[in-house]
Amino acid sequence: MMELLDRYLDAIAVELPKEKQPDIIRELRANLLDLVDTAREDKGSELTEAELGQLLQQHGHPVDVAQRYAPDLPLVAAEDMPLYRTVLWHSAAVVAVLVLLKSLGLLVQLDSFNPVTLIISLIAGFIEQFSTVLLVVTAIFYGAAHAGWTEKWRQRRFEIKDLPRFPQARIRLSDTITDLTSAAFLLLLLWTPLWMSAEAQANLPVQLAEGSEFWRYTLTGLALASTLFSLYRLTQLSWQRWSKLWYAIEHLLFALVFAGMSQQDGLLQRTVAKGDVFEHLWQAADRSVSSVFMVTALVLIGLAILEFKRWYKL
Amino acid sequence: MSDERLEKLRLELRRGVLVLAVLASLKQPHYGYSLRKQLLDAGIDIDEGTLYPLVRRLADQGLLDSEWQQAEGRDRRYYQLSAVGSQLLGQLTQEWQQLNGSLAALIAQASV
Repeated sequence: MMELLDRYLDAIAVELPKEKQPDIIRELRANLLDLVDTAREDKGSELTEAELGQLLQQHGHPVDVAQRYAPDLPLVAAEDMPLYRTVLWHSAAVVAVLVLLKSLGLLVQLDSFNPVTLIISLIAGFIEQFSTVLLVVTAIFYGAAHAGWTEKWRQRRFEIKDLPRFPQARIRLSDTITDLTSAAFLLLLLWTPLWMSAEAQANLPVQLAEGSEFWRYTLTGLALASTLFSLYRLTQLSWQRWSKLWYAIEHLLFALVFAGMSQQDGLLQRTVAKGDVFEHLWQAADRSVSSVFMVTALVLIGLAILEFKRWYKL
Repeated sequence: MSDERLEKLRLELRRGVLVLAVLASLKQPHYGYSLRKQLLDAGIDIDEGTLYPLVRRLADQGLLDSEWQQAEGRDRRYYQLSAVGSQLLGQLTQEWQQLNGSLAALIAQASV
């Protein structure tokens, strides 16, 4: 009959860490034998196999019993979830930016554009990259919890004055990521010679014309400043008066540059061969470049006014 | 209030004082079953699935000393308060008495 008890204990043992197995099983055996003794005394005779089986059944599933004695460390403890979530959000944002830039970089080299293919490649790329990030971040949290580091991570300092004064003063991660992506993509477009092969470059439908270096460097300066400022914002919870003012000024500067570009003729040079199937489209585009830049400038002025208003209210 | 919710809250309430009950019971050495019986006799019914792992955890934390002994022809692990456990028991008892006093006053006020 004791075979049942041994089978039960063996089933528990396989669920326990090897180093704890002998001690826990020895103690469990002693406790269970006491339990059997009590049941036998209550009954007044030896237990049948069925009664012993029922007693062990009531004691609990082997996996649950093992968990009570040697609980598994969760992959991420409940107390670490706020930090884990923040790390994952930021990682997801970085992955999204990288995947977007990669896809857009490929897109400018293609001679045809298929939005469905682009969206599918974006989603697939994001899932592929983010799966790895998720695995690595989770493994780091699990390892850190084992080493007892996460307790230190939880002891975050904060100053009341750094908290947003009102909900609107909170920096939205989505805005920062949009700005970061836009600036990085602008830099990619401005500096194709640095990352694109000469052959691919020669096939680009449109490029900055020679003699437009002033605009290339001005936009590069602004895009770099915007990138650095976006990276700084990633470390902040809320807008300060100076940061909001700079954000508004940044929009205004971009608007002025685009307005300036709209007034210059021959800013872009078309590299598509005559007789191209898109010839008529490019001709129309040539004529509307100036208008597109002006409209962009006007939109940016609108955004700058909005940001100045928000700065005033801060 | 549903019986299920009452049971859940009751268990939560008892879980908080379980450590104190176990430490107080282990001034004398006990093995698993005898400890459970002692608590039961005192009116505290704890499921062995909760009690035995708790005792092991307290021993791992150094609050209890343990020793394997042969008794009634069987191997049994006896637990007893360690010096650290004894000190902690004194502090927890004070805390409990203070809390109990405050709660008694609050409950008396509420029932007036």
